[in-house]
Amino acid sequence: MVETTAVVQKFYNDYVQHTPKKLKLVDIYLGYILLTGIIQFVYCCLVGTFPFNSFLSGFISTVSCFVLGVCLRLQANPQNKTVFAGISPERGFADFIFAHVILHLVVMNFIG
Amino acid sequence: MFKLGLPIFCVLAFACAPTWSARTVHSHLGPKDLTRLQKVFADGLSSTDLQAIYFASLNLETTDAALKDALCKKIVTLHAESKLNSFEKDFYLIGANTNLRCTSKIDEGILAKVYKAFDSELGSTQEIFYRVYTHKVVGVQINDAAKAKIAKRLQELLKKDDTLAGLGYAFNVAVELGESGAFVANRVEDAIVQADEVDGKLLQFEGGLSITALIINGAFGVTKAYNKPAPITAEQAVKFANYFLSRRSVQTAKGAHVLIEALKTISGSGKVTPICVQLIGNAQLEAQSPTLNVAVVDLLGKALSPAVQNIEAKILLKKDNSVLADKVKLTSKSSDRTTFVADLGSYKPVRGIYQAELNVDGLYKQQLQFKVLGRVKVQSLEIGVAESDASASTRKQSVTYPNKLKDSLSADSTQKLLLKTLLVDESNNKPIAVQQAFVRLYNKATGKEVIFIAEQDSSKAYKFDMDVGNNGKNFNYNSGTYNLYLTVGDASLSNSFEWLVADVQLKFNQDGKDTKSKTVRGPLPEIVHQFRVPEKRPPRLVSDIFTGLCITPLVLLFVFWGKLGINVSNFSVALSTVGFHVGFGGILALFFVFWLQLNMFQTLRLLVPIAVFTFLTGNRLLRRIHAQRTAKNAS
Repeated sequence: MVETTAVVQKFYNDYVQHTPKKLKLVDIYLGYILLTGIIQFVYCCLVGTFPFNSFLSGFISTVSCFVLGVCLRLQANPQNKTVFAGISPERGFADFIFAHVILHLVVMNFIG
Repeated sequence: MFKLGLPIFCVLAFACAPTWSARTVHSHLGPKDLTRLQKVFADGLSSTDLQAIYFASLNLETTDAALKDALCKKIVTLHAESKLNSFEKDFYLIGANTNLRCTSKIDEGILAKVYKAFDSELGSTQEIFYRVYTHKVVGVQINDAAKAKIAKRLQELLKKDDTLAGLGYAFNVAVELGESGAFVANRVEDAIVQADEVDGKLLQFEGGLSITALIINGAFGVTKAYNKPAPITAEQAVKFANYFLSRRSVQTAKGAHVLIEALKTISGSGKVTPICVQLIGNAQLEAQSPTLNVAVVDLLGKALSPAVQNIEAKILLKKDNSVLADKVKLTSKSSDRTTFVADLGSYKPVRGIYQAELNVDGLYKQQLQFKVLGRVKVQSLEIGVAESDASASTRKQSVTYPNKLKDSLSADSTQKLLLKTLLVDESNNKPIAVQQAFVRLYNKATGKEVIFIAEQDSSKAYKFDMDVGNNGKNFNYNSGTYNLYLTVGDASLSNSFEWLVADVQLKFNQDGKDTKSKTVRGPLPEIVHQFRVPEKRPPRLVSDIFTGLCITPLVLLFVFWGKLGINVSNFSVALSTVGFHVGFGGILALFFVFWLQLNMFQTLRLLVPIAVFTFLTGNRLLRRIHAQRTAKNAS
């Protein structure tokens, strides 16, 4: 138990000290998306899926945003520079915005 | 089994049948028939047929002198005109002349021809017959030499021509021939076997009434003349008698004459003579006084000459052949020697069909069928109106025969009419089943009636149950007052009746009538579209709470970002920076509007310029940031 606490403690300190500030911003954003998705899911379990298309578009929106957010974080992470050699964080952000525009066009169309 | 059973059955049937109907027939020549035959003869006298006048004059005595003279003249002219064979018309002329006792003499020429008849050779048995009988009528004896000659000629002719008619004439001639005609008697059997049987009841000879009568009269005559036994058996005599009796509606004078002659012959034939045993009246006896009346007469309706000594009857119930009474004596009525009476009152016969087996002097047997009628009584009758669906609370009213229910009943299409009646035999008060039990509903106004059958239920009561709603069609939906009659009828009831039980006011639903008359042309009713019923939505409060919950993470986002120390210091007021943010905000705003009111095409049309602008400004912005970062790294 103590070890677990020590591990979590070490992990947290490591994260706070070594993670760049930009990535922390993205992580908070991802947390926010995750929380929203969980609330939607709870609503669906408690009340029901009607109207189904609205629920689905909302849920798809959160899931996709999360996925896109993870993608942005991967591309913007300096440790992954070797993997995404030709792709700068700015390029990643542009892709992120573009994907969002397409995604939400579809989501808005589907929401009813 | 069947193949074997049928012949056995037939044998039994034939064996039994004669046992219980021997030497008896069911009818005789009654006064009515005799009157009718007299009329045939009267018509014959006034006809212009020589033969008819002869036979009529033979049976009817004309007393009127003027009429007689006219007839005497008429036969002479008819004889001259007649196209019959001369021997035949000579016979009729001379016969009629004799019958009418005409004062005028027969023409000498004709008489001469008759006297010389036997000198030449005669052509047929028929000619011999007429010539011999003409001699008899005239009253001239035929000498023995002529008789022998005739007999010889007759023998020759019979060898060539042994038709039934030929034999018939020969028998009649032989009666007159004496000794020399004895050979003819041997031919009687040949003729009798040629008789045709019809339905096992009648015997007749081919050629009809006149030939049959000719042969029967001749056969009896010839056997009597030569002291031979009767030519036919008792059973055959019954069948011949039946045949003659069946022909009593004959219309010609000759037919009527030979019919009476033949019946007289059979009736006077001694040992084989059949008699007539029949019921008097319509064979229906009242249960109160069941008196069996039987007539025992000969074929011509006269009392038997050796008077009947003893008649016994055995009475059987037809239904199950049970014996009601045996050896019932029938006693002669003092006023009428032909009528015999037995009172069956002491045997208490119940309603039904009976068979009487009568035995007259042990010689004649007859089976007669009669009915004993009962009287029906209405023990109880209840009538009422009930609801179609629940018959529990029915108020029934009793009606007693032959009264009518005082107040009129009324029933509408949701109700039904009920009637229950118990019919009993008046004598023993036991319930009975009748052949007809009907309920008749009669509308006086329209004259229409509908008849229903009342059914007998397990308690032997008759029930009638009519659902007014369901039976509207039978009444053509004609509401109104109907008279309700109960009809009870049976062939074995002496008091069948029709009874007006009550008046019923029937009210039918008019729907049936309307749909019938309405035409189906014209627009059909509009079909309104049924929208799908929306599913139940959650309460407003729950939705609002969750909307709020979905927004809270956004607040948390800004809180954490603030804590982390977000800075917008890098935000330079350049065209590209502002343009990008405004453009991106515009896209989001457009999506919001798209959600509320636009369609996809409108959205895309608006999206293209905004997106291009945002792309250009975004590109410049990001390139500038990239340049700054690389510059910073380099330095």
